[in-house]
Amino acid sequence: MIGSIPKILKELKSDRMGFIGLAMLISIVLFSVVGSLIYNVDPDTVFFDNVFRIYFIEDESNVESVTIEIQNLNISFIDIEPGILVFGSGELIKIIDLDGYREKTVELSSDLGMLTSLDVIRADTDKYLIYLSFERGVISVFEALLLGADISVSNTRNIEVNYLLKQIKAADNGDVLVGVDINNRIIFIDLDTQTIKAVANVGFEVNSISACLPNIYVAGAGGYLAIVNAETSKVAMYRPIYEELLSIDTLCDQNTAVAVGKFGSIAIYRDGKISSIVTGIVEDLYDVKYSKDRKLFIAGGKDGAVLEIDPFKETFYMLDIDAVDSDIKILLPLKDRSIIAASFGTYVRALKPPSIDHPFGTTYYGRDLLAQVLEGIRTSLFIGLVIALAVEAIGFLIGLVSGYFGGKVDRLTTSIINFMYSIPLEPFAIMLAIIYRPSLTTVIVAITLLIWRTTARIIRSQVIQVSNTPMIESVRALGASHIRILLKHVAPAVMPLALLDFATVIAYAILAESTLSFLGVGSQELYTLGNILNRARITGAWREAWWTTLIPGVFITLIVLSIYMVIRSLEKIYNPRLSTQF
Amino acid sequence: MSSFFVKILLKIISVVILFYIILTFQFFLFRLALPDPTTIFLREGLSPEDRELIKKMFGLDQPLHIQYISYIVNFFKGDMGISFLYKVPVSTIVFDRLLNTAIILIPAIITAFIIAWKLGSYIAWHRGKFVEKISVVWIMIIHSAPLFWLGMIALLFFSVQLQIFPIGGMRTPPYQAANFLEKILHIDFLYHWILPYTILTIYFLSTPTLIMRTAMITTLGEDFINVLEAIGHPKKKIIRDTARYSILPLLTQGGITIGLAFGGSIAFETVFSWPGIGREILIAFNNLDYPLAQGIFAVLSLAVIISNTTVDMLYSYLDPRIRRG
Repeated sequence: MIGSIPKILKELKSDRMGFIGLAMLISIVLFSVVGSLIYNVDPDTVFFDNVFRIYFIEDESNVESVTIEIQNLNISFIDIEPGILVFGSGELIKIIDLDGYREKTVELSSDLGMLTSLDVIRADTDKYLIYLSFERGVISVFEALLLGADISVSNTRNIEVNYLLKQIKAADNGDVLVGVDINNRIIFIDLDTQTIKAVANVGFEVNSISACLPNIYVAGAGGYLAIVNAETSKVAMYRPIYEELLSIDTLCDQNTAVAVGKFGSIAIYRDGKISSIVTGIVEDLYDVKYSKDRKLFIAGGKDGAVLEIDPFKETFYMLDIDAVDSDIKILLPLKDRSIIAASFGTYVRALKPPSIDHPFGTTYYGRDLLAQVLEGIRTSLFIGLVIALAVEAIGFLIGLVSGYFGGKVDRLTTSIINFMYSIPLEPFAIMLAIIYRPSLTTVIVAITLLIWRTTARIIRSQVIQVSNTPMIESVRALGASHIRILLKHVAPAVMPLALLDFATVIAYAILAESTLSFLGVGSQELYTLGNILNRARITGAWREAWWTTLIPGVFITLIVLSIYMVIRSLEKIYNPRLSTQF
Repeated sequence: MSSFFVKILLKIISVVILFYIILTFQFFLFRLALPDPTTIFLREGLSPEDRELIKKMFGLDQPLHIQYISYIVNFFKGDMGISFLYKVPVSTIVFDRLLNTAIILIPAIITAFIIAWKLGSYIAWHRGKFVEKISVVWIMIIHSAPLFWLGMIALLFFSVQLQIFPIGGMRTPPYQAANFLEKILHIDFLYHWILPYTILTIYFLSTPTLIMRTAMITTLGEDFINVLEAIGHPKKKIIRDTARYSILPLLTQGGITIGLAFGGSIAFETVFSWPGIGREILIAFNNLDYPLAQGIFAVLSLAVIISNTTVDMLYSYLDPRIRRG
């Protein structure tokens, strides 16, 4: 069998179709093997994108949005002021100029540890102050100037506070900072006099803080709302609601505060009176701000919900903004009744068309299609090879024995073969999968059990022909044993045909395997080309994303086609009458 | 003449025997792997008494050989049990879905073979020319592609991209049809039918065209063709006569194709949401509806057996050499 390969290659060289077929097959295998070595992406890896969206809401029907994709950065902290947006993560902050979309990244000193919170205030028309708190208990103050072509940023001072602050808020034109440390102590910091004092411990997980000096309003887990007096350290605790409150803002001159939180809960504080509203129509609300222009509070939340909250009438009104569909994490009402809202989050990089990062695009689950196809080609070819070996082992042996011995043995095997011919492959595989559950074994067993019949039939008829030649008859007359005749004379004569059939079975098995895997009969963990198509079907991705359908199918077709092309030219050499059909 | 009828009778008996073996095979395949089928399809929270009652209802309390006999007898009577999923007799579902599959498969196969007959003889006559080479390459490409994938690509292009054909199904819901004829005698049916029909026709074209081409080339190599050419027979007439002479292998292939196509279009029907028998066995598989799956498998096997036997008989009738031998 091995010895005939150089001869086959020599023959193939003279036939153009066979040569092209062989070249195609080798290139596909090389593509898969070398491709996997170069393109080092795990097919199971799910890719994510940090997507950042800024909406400029003029009114309910007039919304502009800007999407910024941020690679390899988790947005942890964010703040907006008119004209500027700052977000920070780990050891850097990004400053975005909302009028000109200039952006600037500032690397922070790693001596201070990770960033734990930030706050921005507008000090002048184009001058902003950025307050950052760090893991090591240090506050950094940066000054950002949006004048001219570039954003200029300078570090003005660092203050050691020795508290790890998870929340900070600037008050009193930036001269005072109030913060919450990780033990939920309220910290008061006067930047001018450098007085730092822990005012009180509120005893609940604080999520948000707002200052109306000397009062500091905090809201947090369990629906708690507390008002802390920075001078007397007196704490007034309220629990208007049981849902976690996520954000609070105040209207200082009227002693009014509004906090919003999970499941659309709203808590309203007014002059010592507390009340609550459960909206029932919106999900989580993430941010609330007072709008001077509307004389109302504006809250934003999940799926682009925007509410107007009137703390005096204790009512709310939901704005109908269709254009905003992602979660509003932070918002800012502007003077002209417009609102800037920002959403950010980590999203699965699902169904992205082919690009430089993903040459074959991504799947529904945000996985790389090229990596899957590279593995799929190898798995499909391997399964084809395994099936072909099994089929050839069974079919060759049965064909040989049945054709050589004839008589009762032949009649028995022929009737078994005829019985096997009455079983349709795909339904049979499904029956096996119903009984033994889907797996790779089910696929291999089903295909093997139903194709050896053809191999056995082809080999049998060839063996009958060979056995009747004068050569075999004379060897028999010389007294050679059956085993010797079979091994030394019959088998080698049938070998070229078996080789041809071997190739045909590989092609057929690859097609059958992909069909069965497509139906979900195969193993769900493996990546075969049929499985990739099955996933595209069951997730509905194939209708939206052509690459998930087209690319794996093209590879199945190319593999099978190249094998058929080789077979066709070999057929001319070995057996002009054999058809490639099953 | 009487020997001819004896032959047919023998063939029918062989069909019955093969079908009987398939049923036996299926029965033991299921019973040996799943001694108590009630454990799979019944959810928890069922009392042992209820389980016994259900076992009794399905006859599962009987000894194995009694179950086997009643299973075989019922199957031959056309009673394939009750579907777990639809709660109606399996035979009614099978019959309905079989018609749905046939209405698209059989026209496609017939069209494909008629075209293949013409195309195969045409490219055989133009052997070695460009038209033959390009046709063979295209036929081989179609032959190498998975059928379901061709369907997906066609849907993607014509239904999703161009939106000139529906995305699948047999009729636009909701619709009312008292019977099968009422369902298909409607322009909406044709609208749903045309795309899958075309794809199936193109797919089924590949094998017979190659067979026809080979058969024609063999026939064209025979001496009498040379004689016909030499005496000035018109070219068209020679092609027509040779094509008729070479039809035998095509008929054989046609019979085999029809039998196998019923069980071979599961993925295709699934892609087109065509409520055929193939898609139904996948539904049975996904819902673990054993009686339905068994019934469909038996019917699909029967289709293969009948078509193989018909081909055998047709072959021996058409080719006198075999009839004599």
